Amino acid sequence: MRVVVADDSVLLREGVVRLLEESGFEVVAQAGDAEDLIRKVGAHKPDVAVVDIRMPPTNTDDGLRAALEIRATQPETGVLVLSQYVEEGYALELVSDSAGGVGYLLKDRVADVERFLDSVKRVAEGGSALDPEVVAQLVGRARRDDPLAELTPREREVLELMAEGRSNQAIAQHLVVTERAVEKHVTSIFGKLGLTPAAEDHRRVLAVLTFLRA
Amino acid sequence: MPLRGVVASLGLFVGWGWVGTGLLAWSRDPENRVGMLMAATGFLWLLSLVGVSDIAILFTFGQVIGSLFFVTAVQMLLSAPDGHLHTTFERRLVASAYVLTLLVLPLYLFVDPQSAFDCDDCPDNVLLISANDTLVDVFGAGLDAAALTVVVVVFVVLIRRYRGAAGAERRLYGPLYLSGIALMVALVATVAVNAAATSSDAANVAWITAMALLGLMPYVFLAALARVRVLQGGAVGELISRLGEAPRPGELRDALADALSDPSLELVYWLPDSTRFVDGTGRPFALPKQGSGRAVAPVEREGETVAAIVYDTSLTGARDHVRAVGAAAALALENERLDAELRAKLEELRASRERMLRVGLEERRRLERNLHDGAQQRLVSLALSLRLARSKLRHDPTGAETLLAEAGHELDSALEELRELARGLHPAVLSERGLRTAIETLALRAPLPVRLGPVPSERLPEAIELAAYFVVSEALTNVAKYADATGATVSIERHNGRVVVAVADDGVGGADPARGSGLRGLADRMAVLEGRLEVESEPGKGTTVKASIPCA
Repeated sequence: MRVVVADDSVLLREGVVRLLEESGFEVVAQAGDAEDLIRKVGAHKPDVAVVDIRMPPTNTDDGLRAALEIRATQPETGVLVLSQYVEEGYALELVSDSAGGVGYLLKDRVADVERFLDSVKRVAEGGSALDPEVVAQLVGRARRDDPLAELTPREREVLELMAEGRSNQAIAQHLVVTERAVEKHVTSIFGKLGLTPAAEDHRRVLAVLTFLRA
Repeated sequence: MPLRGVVASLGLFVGWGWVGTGLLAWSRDPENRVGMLMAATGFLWLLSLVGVSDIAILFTFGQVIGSLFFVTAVQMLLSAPDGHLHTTFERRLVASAYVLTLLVLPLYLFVDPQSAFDCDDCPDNVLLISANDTLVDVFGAGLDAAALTVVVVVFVVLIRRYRGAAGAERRLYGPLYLSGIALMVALVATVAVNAAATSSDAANVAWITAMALLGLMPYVFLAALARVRVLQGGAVGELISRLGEAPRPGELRDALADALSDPSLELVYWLPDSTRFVDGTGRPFALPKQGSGRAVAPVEREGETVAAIVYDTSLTGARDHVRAVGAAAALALENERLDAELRAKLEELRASRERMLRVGLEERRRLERNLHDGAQQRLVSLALSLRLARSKLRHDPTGAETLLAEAGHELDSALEELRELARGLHPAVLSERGLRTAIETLALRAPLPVRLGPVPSERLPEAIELAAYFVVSEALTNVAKYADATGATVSIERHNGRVVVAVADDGVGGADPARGSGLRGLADRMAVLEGRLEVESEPGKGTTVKASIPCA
């Protein structure tokens, strides 16, 4: 898989590049600011771009804006945005049209090597990866007549993992249950929340997120 | 023709009227040129009376300057009410009238043997070079046409002026404009009757009417002046009784505006502390410039300026009336001044609170950025290195060792950054030990020799200690970064209720306090404490940063 990595901190960028290369990814380019990123993504057409949210020129949310631009002009390239802090607004902005090929992770997750690599792969393949912290914030929101209250603790866990963008298989592995059991949970959750089941994972994510932010 | 006799007898009545009224108006309002022009008209008129002399040279001189009074009269009429010609058009009109009378008229006299007075017993025209009837006709027609044009244009301008005049201008100058209009009509009539040449009697009647109107003009103005005086006296009286009812803020301005018939009137108050004028809400007020149509009349009480009245020069009457109104309201103005002073203090306080808030927010943003971009990045990268090292531990122990060594360095740097950050927030040594020890630490840590001058060993208010510390810290950082100096001197002294912090170096100089966020940040810190920051930095002469903070 071909990756472009963008981060203005050389230290961290080198670390991420090393990590990706040792795990079999091909890092085709590195960028130090948003304009550089857009240029290199356009030139190399990678499967995925790993993008720090805060980059020059303005050192605010340049990375996020570049990510949105890449999603709009080059939908075949996935974008995984890394942020220093959890900002649900940013995450939702990213997935607002489609949850396919986007990811939003807390920067610290990089150190959780397995999960980070899994997220990069998922986004590169057109899936989604949302930080558990973001999901937790959305699930934990105060709601009137909360339909989430009807979910069993296990169902809630499954819901959160779904919202992160994981497949049934991944959820089953994570919870150490069979895929069949996960499917049953998912059907039950969709029934309780009144959602229409979706075939593809990233459509499922969007449905769940739309429900959670409503 | 007996006209020379008429001119002579009417002459004194007309001339002295203009001179007297002009001088009176001039003394009443010396900055207004209307009075001066009126007096000049009178004098020129009197001078032109030599034209009735039997001596040839005086007679001729009288012919040459004989029409000049008319031009000054026109200039006076057009200059009312404030003494300035208002438009380029008016200025050109007056200028061409002068050219006509002073340059073209004498040319006419070179060729006309008989001069303006069509008389047999007149003395000789000494300017006559050679009589030429054709040229006389051409010149005469041209002069008549030009004069007629001027008269008609002035007529139109005066009608407009009269219709546009309001308030004090209408009361004082309205009658003058009207008599000016009547004069122009009479002059046109004279020219018309002359041209028709039906009877010389009719021409004489028209001409004498015009002269009579000219003679009456100053008396008309005098009457208006007297009436305005009475009205103004009444206005001051009314103002005093209104002030007796202890007006609320804002009402004082209205009362003065009524008394001076100037709705645009503004009151500004003098703040002796900050030596400037402020408006009623305490905001600084920029006085109008000269020639802007607005003037300033200071109001004094017991020899001290308390306020000033800013008024419209075209609406309000003379300056002495404004002064009289101001004097009548001096006590009330003094009260309002105290009020305005208080508001100004509050306004300053509000502004400094706002600045303080902004400084605080700015600081928090800087802090957030430093944390995210510094320590957090390092820790993430450190975690990454550790994970990678673990995965390599078995099959690549040398690679793992390198990674662990890197991780160790990262950790050191992260700790160092956190310490720096904490010190930037608040230097612990300062609150624990006070300024002296804290400054000594700064001096020791600086990458160049720092000589310590006097530093107070007693404790000062916390905010002041902190501000002084940051001045020294920022200044020494700048010295190390930019000054290329061999050494620096730091001193903190107390005198006259102020703490004065000075950091001087022997470097290249040329620092610009307007640039660079560090010095600006310091200036804001100073502003919050009502202190001052001065930077002396001539190129080649080193840099001295001096902060002075009030400290009881």
